[in-house]
Amino acid sequence: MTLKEFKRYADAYGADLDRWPRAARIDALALLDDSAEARDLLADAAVTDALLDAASTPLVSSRREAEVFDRIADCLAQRIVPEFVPWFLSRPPFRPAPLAGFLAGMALAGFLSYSQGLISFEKTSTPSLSGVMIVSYLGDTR
Amino acid sequence: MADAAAGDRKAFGTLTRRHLRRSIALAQRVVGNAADAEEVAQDAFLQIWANADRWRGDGTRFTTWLYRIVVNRAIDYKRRRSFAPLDAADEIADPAWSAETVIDGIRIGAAVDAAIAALPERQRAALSLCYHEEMTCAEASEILQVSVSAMESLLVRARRVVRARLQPLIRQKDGARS
Repeated sequence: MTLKEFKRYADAYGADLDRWPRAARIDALALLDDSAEARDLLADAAVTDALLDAASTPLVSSRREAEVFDRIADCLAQRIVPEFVPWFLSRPPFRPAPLAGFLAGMALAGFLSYSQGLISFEKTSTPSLSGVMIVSYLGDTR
Repeated sequence: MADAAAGDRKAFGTLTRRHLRRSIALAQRVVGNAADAEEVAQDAFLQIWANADRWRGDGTRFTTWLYRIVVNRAIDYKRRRSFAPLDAADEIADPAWSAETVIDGIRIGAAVDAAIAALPERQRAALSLCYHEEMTCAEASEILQVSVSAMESLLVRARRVVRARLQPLIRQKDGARS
């Protein structure tokens, strides 16, 4: 390991060699034995570590945590899909079966209504083609 | 998480209780204040609920996914805030304090906080994950979605900048020792 590589590791991981990549540790220890410069670099890294240790730790109280939790729960309650979901809003795996049943029911109801004479299809006279095509500028069919 | 992904609100509640505190703390380190951190954590968990069915349990740890969302939202939040009017922005202490004003550990802590707060978002996030949250570089790189080498570069730059900003303090301490 070169001194430059050692410096990069020390700058990235700090003075605690346990935090360094495993592969670099043995080489680093060997360099520390031989090089006073490497020892100085590690001492500098230890100073930076000590400064970072002095940074304040965000304190999250139980009350604060509970407040955020409640706000999340409120948001979910407003967005929540109700327990009873109409078949047409249900998730895809359940959607085709009720849809097929609904269509079959409608078809059966239509057939029975027609067969019982409840509805009839009477032929209506269709206007001749010429009658349809002659349209006045007011939109009336002559 | 598998239950939450299937739409189980109770399971999601348990998951939220388990990870909320640490998520708020992580967000606070990146955004720099408590109120914004709470909003970031709240948004992150709602995003997780909304996209829970996209979570794949194939080797990806839930916490990696969670912290990735928290950090990304915190960075976005911080960037949006940086365009806010000056009177709405949080005050950041001047890191160039005089040696006389640094008289105790509280002031040192405040100076370090200010130096960290002045870092670019990704460097600050890298420092928070690796140093304060004690994650390995590989774990943190997954969260920030960069290579391990890029993660090391972020850490190197972050630590060098913090050290440079706090140089007057280091000199003062060295002077006091000698």
